[in-house]
Formats: sequence, C-alpha cells, structure tokens
Amino acid sequence: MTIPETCDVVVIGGGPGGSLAATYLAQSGYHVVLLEKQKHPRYAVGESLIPDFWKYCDEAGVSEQIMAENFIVKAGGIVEWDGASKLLSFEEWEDKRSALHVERDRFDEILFKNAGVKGAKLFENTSVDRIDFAQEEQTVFYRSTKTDDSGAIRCRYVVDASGQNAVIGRHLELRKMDSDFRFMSIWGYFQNSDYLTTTGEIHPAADVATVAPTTYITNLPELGDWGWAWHIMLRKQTSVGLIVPIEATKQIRQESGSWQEFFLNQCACLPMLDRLLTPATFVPDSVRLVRNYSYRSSQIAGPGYFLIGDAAGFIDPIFSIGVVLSMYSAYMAAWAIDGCLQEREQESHYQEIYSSQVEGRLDLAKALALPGYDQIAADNQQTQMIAKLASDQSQKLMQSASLVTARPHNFDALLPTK
Amino acid sequence: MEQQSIFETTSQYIQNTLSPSKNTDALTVDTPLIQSGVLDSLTLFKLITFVQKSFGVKIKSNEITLENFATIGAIEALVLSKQQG
Repeated sequence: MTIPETCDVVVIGGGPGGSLAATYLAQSGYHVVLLEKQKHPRYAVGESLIPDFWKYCDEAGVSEQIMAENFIVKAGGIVEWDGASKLLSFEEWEDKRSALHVERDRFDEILFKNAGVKGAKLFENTSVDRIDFAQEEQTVFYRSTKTDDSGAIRCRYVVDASGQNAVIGRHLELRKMDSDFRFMSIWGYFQNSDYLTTTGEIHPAADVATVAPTTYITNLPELGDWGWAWHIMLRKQTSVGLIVPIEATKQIRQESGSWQEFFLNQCACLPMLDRLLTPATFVPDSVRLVRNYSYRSSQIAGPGYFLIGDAAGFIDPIFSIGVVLSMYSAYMAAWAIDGCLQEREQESHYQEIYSSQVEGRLDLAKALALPGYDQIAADNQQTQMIAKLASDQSQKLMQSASLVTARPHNFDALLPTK
Repeated sequence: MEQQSIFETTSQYIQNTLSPSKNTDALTVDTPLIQSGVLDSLTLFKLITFVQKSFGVKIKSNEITLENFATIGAIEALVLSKQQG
C-alpha cells in the first residue's frame, strides 16, 4: 500500500492518542492517514491506567480486545507521602471497570491496529519532516525511516499526536517549558519484585495475576515537596521510576557517577521501595530518562491543526492520568474536526471549544500534581468551570487524590463549595 | 408545544443514544445529568452536537458550563434563550 496524495486528516503519531483520534475520525466516515515513525510493537513508558480510559476504548470498539489480553488488573494505589501511607481504592468508588497496568508496547499496538480495522490507513516507519500550512489545505512532507522514499500528502487537517517530539509545536515554535516543573524523570525495570496489595500485605511477583497489586507511589522526602517515585507491577517485569527536581540531580549525580547508579542508589534510599525490590533483579541497561520534563504549547489548535496528548502538553503524571488525558484530547480533537469539516465557516468556533476544554483539563491535572498551585487555580475561571463539569464521583476521586499527597488546598481552591 | 418538544427530543436522545447502559428510564427536567455521571466528558459533547443540529443553535465555548447542562431543564432554557435571542 502506498501513501495516498490526499485525504481529509493526517494524524502524526500512532500512540494511544493518535490511534484513537484516527479511529474516531474514520468511524465518522473521514479519510484518515496515520503516520507512525516507529514500527509496532514499540516501547513506551506510562504503564498505569485509571478506569476512565475504558470509555474511550468503548467508543473505538476496542475494549473486548483489551480485555482478552489479560493485562494486570490493579486494585488501587498506595501513596506514601511524608511517611503517612494512604490507600486510593477503586472499589470504594463503585467503579465496575478495572484500572490496569499495561505493557505499553502491546497496549499501543492493539489500539493502532484497531485504527486500521476501523478504516484509517496506517503507515509505519514514516516520519514527518515539515508541514506547509495554508488556508484551505495543509501539505505534510514525510520520509521513510527505512528507505530513501519521501513524499507529500495534502489534507484539510493535521492532528499532531507525535508525543514529546511535538512536530508542529517545534515547527511553529509553540512550545513553552513549564517553569513550575523543573523536573526530570528516570526509570528502569526489575524482575521478580514483591508488591503491595490494598490491605498493605506484601506478595511475591508470582501472585500478581491472582492477587491484584496496587500502584505504589512515594514522595522523596529528602528532595522537598516535589519528587516522587512509582512502582508498577507488569506481567513479567516491574516498572520503577523517579521524578526528581533537576537541581537536586546535579549534586547527587556528581556523587553517583552514572545515571544507572544514581537511579539504583535512590531506589535503595526509599525504605518500602527497597523492601519490595529485595528479591528483585535489575534488568541490565533498562534505565531511561527524560529531561526538560514538563512543557505546554502556547496554542493547541490553529488554522489546519490540532495538537493532542503529550504534543499539546506534558504534565507530571502522578495519578496515572497521562494516557487518559491523551485519549480525552483525541476524542475532543475528533469531535472538533468533525464539526469543522461539516461547517467550514465554523472552524474558529470548534477550535475555541477544543482549546478551552483541553487546556482546562491540563490545568486541572496540573492543579492536582503541583504543590502551591491553589492561588493560580483559584484565579483561573476556565479551570474551575471544567472541574465543575466532572461528576460527583470523579470530583471525589480528585479530592482524595489531592488529600493523599497533602495538597488539598489546590482542590479546595478549584471547587470551593465542595 | 415547542418547550415540550425540546425536552422530549433531548431526553430521548440521552436515553437511546448516549446512555443505553445507564439507568435513564426516568429522566425528568430536573434529573442531574452531569453530577450523577449520566453525561461525562465524552457524551456531553455528543449531546452538544445533537442540540446544535436539532434546534439550530450554536453553543459557545463559554456556555459549556455545569449551570447550562446540569439538567434537561437547564438545556431547554439555554436553547430557548438562544432561539429567542
């Protein structure tokens, strides 16, 4: 199959956001071309999913396949903050659908292939060099990562789902680093780690398919109110990672040497994490890191384009919200593009709704993740409006999330009457 | 009556299209839609598309609020004010 010369929408990037946006638009009858730089299955981090993700998969008609994969069902989260341990249990909230720990190479592959089944044209090993934006038509210049082939495709809209590559954001110089988040993330994988259940019992890795694990989160007390660590049980491995202030890493790393040594030393400093990892073996060379951790795009929609997922903005994913935010923005972008394609003269109307809704969600995520965000949140009417559009149950979930990390002021500022 | 038709059209759409799995048998003008979770971040926008098409109105970005979409009664009031305005 060769890449067509024209289509309605080009989606750049075949992660969960890009695949779902392509699926929704194809389901609405549009001619969609999805360009993915790599080839599935490919590695990605961000393995913990809250139950909210199911509704986006239902909409894409892919939930049964995800169920059939038998990913690890998680029972909730245990958050240890400043020594106090609190449980966020999904059962308490009467959510009938499970939260999952997924191997992202497999999870993303399922969503990607489903986009093809639903009618999007998929092209892997294809990267985008640049885009020419014009009034009526955008031209996307692509190149094969395997051969010398290159070409161009003309379309009405481009969805940038290229993640941290942020193809359009860089091209149009929209990206702003977030000065509130001077962080980096460093993570790696272990085999045979113990894990915590919702009752706080410690179980061996062999039980993980039968006794549901929790996502274990702890703050890094030595690094102030900012850093935190995760422990996520997968089917064969355990994902462990640290979010650390960049300032703190400079000094610590001088003492440690390699990033791997730094990572393993930090893991050993956290008592419960160290305990869970006692029987575990570190997977050699599995350490990865992301610097320049958090950014926003000054504009997430414009003439001919929509940015979704991490390409729109990347926020501290402390409550496993990264993938769900991406899915949400995919849905909203598909909704807005459908509106634009049906009513050409209403493009700015749909782009304004898209921007205000998705930016409000990003701010809401930031309010839950950041210490000392209460005044900023209180001053932001759009964020408050978005928070009020959540159901009572999701508001309670947000509130308890802000409570376990000792940041309830942020939430109270957003929803003062609750 | 136009007022009744907005209510009936909207409640039928919510019952048949948006929330077939949820218990929406007894939707009244006052049934909480957002707080109870009958409408979520996804279905709210399907409903907005439906309302725009069915009643020939444009819902502006700053009108997408809890106050305007809390109940079918609230949606009806919004649509009527737009049709008259």
